[in-house]
Amino acid sequence: MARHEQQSKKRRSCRFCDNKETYIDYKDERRLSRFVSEQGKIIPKRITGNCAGHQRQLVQAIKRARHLALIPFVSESIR
Amino acid sequence: MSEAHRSYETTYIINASIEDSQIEATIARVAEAIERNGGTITATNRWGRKRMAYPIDKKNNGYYLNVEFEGPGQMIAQLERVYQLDENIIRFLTILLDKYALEARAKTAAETTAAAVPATENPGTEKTGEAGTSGRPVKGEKPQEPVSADKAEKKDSDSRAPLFPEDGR
Repeated sequence: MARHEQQSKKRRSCRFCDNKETYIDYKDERRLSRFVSEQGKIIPKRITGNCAGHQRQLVQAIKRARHLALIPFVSESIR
Repeated sequence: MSEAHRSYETTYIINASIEDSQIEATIARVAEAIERNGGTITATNRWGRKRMAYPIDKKNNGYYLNVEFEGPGQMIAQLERVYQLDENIIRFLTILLDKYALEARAKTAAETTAAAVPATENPGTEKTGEAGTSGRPVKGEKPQEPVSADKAEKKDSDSRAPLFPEDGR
C-alpha cells in the first residue's frame, strides 16, 4: 500500500501536455538536451513522464537535431 | 495536375572554412534552385557560423542556414539532388511543416514580437540574450529544475561560448 502511494506521488505529468504544446522543434537544442542523458542517449518516457505522443515527437526532433550536429550522438566527454 | 503546394523547411550546413563570398554564392544558388523548381521562399534564417556538436568531414564549424518555402512535393527530390551535388553543403535536412508546426511557428512569432516590445521599453539583461536567439523558438518560457543533462550541456557550451555572439543575423 505504502509503496503504491509513493509511486503515484512520483508519477510526473507530461511537460509538453502541461504547456499545451503541439509541436516540438528540432532547432531548440537547449530544450532537447534536457531529454537526453549525459552520454547523449534519449531518456525514456518512463523516467521523464512524457506521454506517448509527445515522446514520439521528441524522439523525432532529437534525431533530426543529431543529424544536423545540433546535439551530439555521443557526448564528447565519453568519446 | 492539381499540385498541392505545401510548406517545407530546409536547414543546411555550409562549409564554414570557405570565403564569405563563396558562402553567399552557395546561398544564392540554393535560393535559385528553389525558385526554379516552382517554390516560393517565405523566410530565410541565418544562424551563422556555429560549432557543430561533432565533426563532419573533419570540420568542426559550419555555417547554418534555414529556409522556409512553399512548393509542390515533386520539387523536393530535385532540391535534394542540388544539395548533394553542391560540394560546399556538408549536411542538409528538409522537413514538411505540418499544420501543428505552422501553428507553433505562428505562436512563437507572436510571442517574440510581444516580448520584443516590453524589452525595448525597459532594457533589461535578458534583451541581449533574446537578440541572439531571435528567429528561433523562444526558450526559457518555463524555467525548470536543471537535469543532469543540463550540466553536460553547460560544460560543452563553455568551450563554444565565444562562438555564439557570431550567431547574430
